[in-house]
Amino acid sequence: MEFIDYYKILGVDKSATADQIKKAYRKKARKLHPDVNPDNPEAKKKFQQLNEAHAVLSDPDKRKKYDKYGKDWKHGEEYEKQRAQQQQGQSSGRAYSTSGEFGGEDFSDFFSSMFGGQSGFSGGGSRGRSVRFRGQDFHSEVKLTLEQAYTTHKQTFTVNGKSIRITIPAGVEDGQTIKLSGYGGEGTNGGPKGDLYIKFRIPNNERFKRVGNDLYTTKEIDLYPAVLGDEITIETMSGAIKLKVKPGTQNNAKVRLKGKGFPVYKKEGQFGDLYVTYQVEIPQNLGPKEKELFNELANLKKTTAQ
Amino acid sequence: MKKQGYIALTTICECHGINESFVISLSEFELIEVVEDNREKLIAEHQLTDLEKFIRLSNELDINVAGIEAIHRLTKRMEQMQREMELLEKRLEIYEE
Repeated sequence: MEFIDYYKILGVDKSATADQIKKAYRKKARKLHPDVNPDNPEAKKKFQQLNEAHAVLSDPDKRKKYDKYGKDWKHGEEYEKQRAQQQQGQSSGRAYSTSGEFGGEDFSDFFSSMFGGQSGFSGGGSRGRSVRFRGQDFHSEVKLTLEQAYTTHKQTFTVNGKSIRITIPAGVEDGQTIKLSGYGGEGTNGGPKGDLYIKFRIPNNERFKRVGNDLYTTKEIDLYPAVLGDEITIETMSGAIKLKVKPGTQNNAKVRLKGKGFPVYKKEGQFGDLYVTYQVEIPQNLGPKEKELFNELANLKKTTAQ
Repeated sequence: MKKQGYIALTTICECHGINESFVISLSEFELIEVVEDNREKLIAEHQLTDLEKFIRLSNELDINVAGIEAIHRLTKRMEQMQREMELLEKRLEIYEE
């Protein structure tokens, strides 16, 4: 556990006045507040540190204790006992406490060790009376394979020790978040429960790449079907299908298979398209007969060109 | 009987310790939709997350409703751009092999 320099976090001098601390805090809070930095865990972490720094430095009693024992925090408890004998300190720190999401949670071990957890903050908010608060929202990330996301299926998750079984509709997108109302933290003073937000991560696989509802794949074909045309079998996500290759198909030629892509989220029976790029394989290690025939073709080409 | 999927504005204000006028201002800026049913002001449940965000911005950063409107609009735009960027990155992946 390391010493945390709260003055440095707030960017103020040790001799800063309460007003300067408040100003510095407000300025940094506006920049780092999680509501103005969505999906930015770094900002959230810094905001928590800022909150902690402000909670200590804006409270004269805590600040005094921090200034005196900050670097030697292990003696904080002794100090606390002495203080308790003298007088009961009154908390005036204002921790963010509305929904709990960005509240005094996750204070550092250093803080807990020195000030004994968050007890110093109860009732420290701007509203002293017993107010009902909605429970904390939980955020969770779930990884699905492309195959899993292709079909509507049920999955069981464990969130905060609780098992939750949910139906994941086919076509859920990479980065999409779904909200499960009432699966978050317990409310306080009879307030409603928070919500659970599940963000899906769905990486592409070796065979298919997904862009929106469309899928992209490559198919290696021999030179002969490319030149002469043929019927080949290709794998789609819904199974193998037969596909006609046109005579004279070029390398990297792309064909669109309508409705063979990814299912459209919550639109049953609707699918994106599958784009197949042909990779024509040029024969290697030709046998004597093959060489002879290719030479014959080459000569024929020269003759017809003249 | 209360409309399904709606919460009384008075309940929300009591829960969060806020004035009704704050929510009315938000509705004037078209950030929250307040509906009336039997003379009771209601808010749709799906708007709660946004409303709570606006309350946090007001309480914790002292931002007024005009500022909240600007932040909300810009963060929405940022999220939209983030989604577009992810989509473009995926599209780019196709040509990166």
